[in-house]
Amino acid sequence: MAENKLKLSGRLAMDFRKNWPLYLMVLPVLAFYILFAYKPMVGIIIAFKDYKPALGIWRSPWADNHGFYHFIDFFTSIFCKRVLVNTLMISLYDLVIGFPAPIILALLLNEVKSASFKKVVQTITYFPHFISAVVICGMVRQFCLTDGLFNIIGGWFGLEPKSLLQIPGNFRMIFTLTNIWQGVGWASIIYLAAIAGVDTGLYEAAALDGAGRFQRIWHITLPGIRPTIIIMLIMRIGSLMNVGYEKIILLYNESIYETADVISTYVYRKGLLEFNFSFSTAVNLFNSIMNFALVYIANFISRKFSETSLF
Amino acid sequence: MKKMVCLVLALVLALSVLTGCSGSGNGSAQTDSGKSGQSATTDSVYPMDGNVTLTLNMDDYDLDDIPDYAKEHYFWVELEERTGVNLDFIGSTSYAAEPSQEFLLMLSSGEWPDIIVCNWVGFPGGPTAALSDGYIRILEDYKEYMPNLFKYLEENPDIDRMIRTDDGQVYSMPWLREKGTQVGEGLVIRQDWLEKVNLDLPETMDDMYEALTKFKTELNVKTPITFELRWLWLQTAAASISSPYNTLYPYYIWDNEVKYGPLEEGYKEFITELAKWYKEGLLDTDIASIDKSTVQSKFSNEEAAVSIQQYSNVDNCIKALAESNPEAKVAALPSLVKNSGDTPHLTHYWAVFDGGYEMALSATTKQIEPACRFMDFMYSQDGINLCAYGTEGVSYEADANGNFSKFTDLVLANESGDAPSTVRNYFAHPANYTYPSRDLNYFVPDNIKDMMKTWTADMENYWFPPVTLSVDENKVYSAKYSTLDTYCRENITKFILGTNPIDQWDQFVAEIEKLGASELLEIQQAAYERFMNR
Amino acid sequence: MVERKTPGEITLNVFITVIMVFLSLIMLYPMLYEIFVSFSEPLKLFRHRGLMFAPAGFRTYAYEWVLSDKEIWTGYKNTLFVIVVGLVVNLTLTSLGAYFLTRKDCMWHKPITILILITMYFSGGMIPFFLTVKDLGLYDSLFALIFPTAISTYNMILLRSYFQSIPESLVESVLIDGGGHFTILFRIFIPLSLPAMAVMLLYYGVGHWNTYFNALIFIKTKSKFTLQLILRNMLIMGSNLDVDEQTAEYEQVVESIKAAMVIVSTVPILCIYPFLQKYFVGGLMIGSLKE
Repeated sequence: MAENKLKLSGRLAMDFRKNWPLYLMVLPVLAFYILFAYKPMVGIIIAFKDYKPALGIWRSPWADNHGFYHFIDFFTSIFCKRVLVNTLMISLYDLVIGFPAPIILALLLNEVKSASFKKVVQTITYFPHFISAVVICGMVRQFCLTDGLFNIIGGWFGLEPKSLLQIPGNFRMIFTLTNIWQGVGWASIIYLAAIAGVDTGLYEAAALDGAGRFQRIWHITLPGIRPTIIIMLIMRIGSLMNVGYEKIILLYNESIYETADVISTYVYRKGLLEFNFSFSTAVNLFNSIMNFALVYIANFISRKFSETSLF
Repeated sequence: MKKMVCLVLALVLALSVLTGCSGSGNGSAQTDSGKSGQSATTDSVYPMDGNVTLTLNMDDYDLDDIPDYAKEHYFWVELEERTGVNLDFIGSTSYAAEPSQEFLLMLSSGEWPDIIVCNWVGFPGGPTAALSDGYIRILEDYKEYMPNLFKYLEENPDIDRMIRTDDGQVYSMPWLREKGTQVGEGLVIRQDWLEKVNLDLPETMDDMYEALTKFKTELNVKTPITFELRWLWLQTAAASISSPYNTLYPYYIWDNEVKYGPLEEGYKEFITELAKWYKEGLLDTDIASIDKSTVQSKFSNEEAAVSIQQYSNVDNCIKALAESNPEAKVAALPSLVKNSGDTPHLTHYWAVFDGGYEMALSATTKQIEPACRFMDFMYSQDGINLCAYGTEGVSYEADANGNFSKFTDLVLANESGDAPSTVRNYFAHPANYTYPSRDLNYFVPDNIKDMMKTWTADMENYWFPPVTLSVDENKVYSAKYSTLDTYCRENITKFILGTNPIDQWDQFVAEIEKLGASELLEIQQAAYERFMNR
Repeated sequence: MVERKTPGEITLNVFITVIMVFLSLIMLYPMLYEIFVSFSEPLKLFRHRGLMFAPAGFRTYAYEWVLSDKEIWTGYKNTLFVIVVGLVVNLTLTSLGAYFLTRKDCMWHKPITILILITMYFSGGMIPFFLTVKDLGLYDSLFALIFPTAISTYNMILLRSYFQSIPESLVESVLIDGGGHFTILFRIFIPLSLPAMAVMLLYYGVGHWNTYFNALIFIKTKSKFTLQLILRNMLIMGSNLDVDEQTAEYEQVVESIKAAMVIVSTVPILCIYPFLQKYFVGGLMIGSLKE
């Protein structure tokens, strides 16, 4: 045992003598991770305390119920089930509608024969990616008003004008479509790149065999980009319970909390608007653990059924 | 003697309101500016020595933005000069009834200014929590540095009672409003349109319904009535339309008892009526998703016929309307009533003291004495005059006793064309009321003043005062209230929008009972009784 | 490639073209609409029904108001500072980290890689993050928008993938010549990865441009507000920048002012973006090289 240790420390010392410039290079990177990723993880401890800013993290008293007061508080809260369901539902909308959209766009773009037309379309579809969330949400709010753009268009199809962001049933669709509008072009880049990597010889062979365009897409292009799709899918499934608050808090209002309030927005309101730091951190911790589990499961499944996995 | 001074001051104020400030035209006697403030009791000497710098959580100003005529005697510059204190503004202002997010983050950052400005009554847990959690200090402990404040409180027992905690602690420099300026917003209606549809000014909820319907059907007005939905949650902001049902959200006093709106039958009727309006397209269809500027712009652009407006905004709306449509006529309406001929009770209400703009001494400051003396300056006669009127001989003229007599032409008829209230706000404290009080109406145009008179009712009997909770009560309250409040706001909104059918109201009440509505009401009742017995 | 122009093929081509044109219109119209609203006269705007294909009336008041507002320029200045300084920090740290991740022959490679990967899936959460940044003295400093977001692990791994595609023989030749890791990184890896670096620039740059939330929680002094924070207050909260400017005219044209702010805050991106596109299309491949 002692010998092993000696050996190990000896090896470490040798490694350090040889690689110290490398370690010097990684030092600022490590500092970043320790300061901004690991130090906050230590701060999670306030989930088990009654955090008082005047006392600081360490001097604040432990919460009741062996420190689990805030977790129990959350699980027994009337909002618990709702925020969990909403988070999952928004993710599912995004998965079912949002995930295929850039793939379809990439396949369509690939079928555009004129290079210059293709480039124009690409330029235009990438553009919304560069508009900030605040501006997009500001526009969507205006468009959703009773006399807003969406209702004008809805009117062509005989729909009665309604304030769209006041109807709980609408929110998920509006949110998902907004995300698609902003992200579809940008997200298609990765698939276009994957398509470009497919062996063109295969297409020629297929064309000689008399395969139509749909058949070529189905039998050559799609299988060719399958690894990319699977990787993206794993990442998406891994973040099923991880819906960002940045856009939602710009869009929602009290009348649609029923469908729009997700875990992260709840954490935001509880923590930063109601000053309930410990409770908010407890909810956040619960969410993080769920996320971690989901990523692990998604990766496990993927490894089992295909060759591709994240780690 | 001091009382006399106050009386005279009040009289002068009252006179100047009545006469619209003609004043006695007495040439400004160049009195020593510190004279009246330092008579008798105070041992503070201003300006203070020692080059003190105090930090405050208010937004910093930029002297470049101040017009040249006001640069030299700009309020904050002048205040620094007279007190001998350098002020360092660190931002994170919180003026609203509920503390702003910036403010809460500043508190949690642990970097507190010497003087913390906030509405402590609206602080989570109230002043008791702010004291027990160790943000601020009890001012009573530093009484010797604050002679002016404590003298004022001694002379005004009714104010004194209001601003203390149940334990009898003074925790802040209170901001007070002049008596008689308690209403700041109410209903306004397009009178010219009323005439077009041959109706009198609506008095009851039914009248209003009829008028709104006719606006919609006969004049094709797109949004017959609009206001900000959040006003329903701000205690008295929407009182002018809930008044026929004698109810408010959340707490109010009725027959010496604290009531919680959503538990009352009247509140259900009120919401039922709003839901009816919404369903028929009378109430703004976008009510839950619009902001204040949209409400203003709808009324100014002839989109809306009835609105709840603040006195300071309605003036702009009227002017904008006049520009585009010379026939437009806007009338104020008193709060609505149940039966024609009834007297309305509930209306918008600005209490003399409601916690706004309170300055408190931070628990971490090392400059207790200068900070206390600085704050106390606001309650000296010199400080009162400065906050209310600005600099003597520049923005106002004083009578022989050094008291305010009238504003100068620099304020009343500025060459730049700036409105008098704008100019005054450069020289005096820019908020619309001050330490300890000043006349809010000074520059309000007559037509708006009449509107404010129309909106007035005997609201002081029904308004829920700033009670304080004990530490134990606070524990229950803070654990339960925010959930209850979120649940109520959300569901009441949905009742109005028709997302929740109104026949589910009983289930809603059962649910809020489960969330502790009655339990919290009992806590408030006990706190109210303690408040009344102070 | 043999291409037979059957009628079916032609129909398909037309069909795809129509879809693409339609899609482009959807992408562009909201911005055009904002342009029309920003130039409209208030009363005509309110009376307007249906889609807009030109401003209702013509008035530039909204732009005069927006452009004469000092806060917007301050916001621009602060945002620019965050982007420029932020990008320098981002690119330096990310390439250092990515380079380390490609050096598998040192003993600490695996522990450090794991340490980094964990943070992709687990974080402290909003409040502890806030408290940490505050403890570091970054509260109310523009650096709070720079250091805490200095590395995106995802981007760093992308860059590592690109680095990995560089032949190991080049590294060995430098080592034989007596060069060190710094030489390898700055003389070989970075010059050979310019397209990837352009993509990094773009990813981080867009990130800095888009976020408002960190500014919302970390910045309290008005003179340090970023553009997005000012936009949020105006577009979402409906509170205009300066209460004193709430004139009768303002009440009427507020909708146009909001639209003008949207345009003023988007136009710079519109101008820069076509030039950027050239670069990031060159770096497209790194996406598919991941892992």
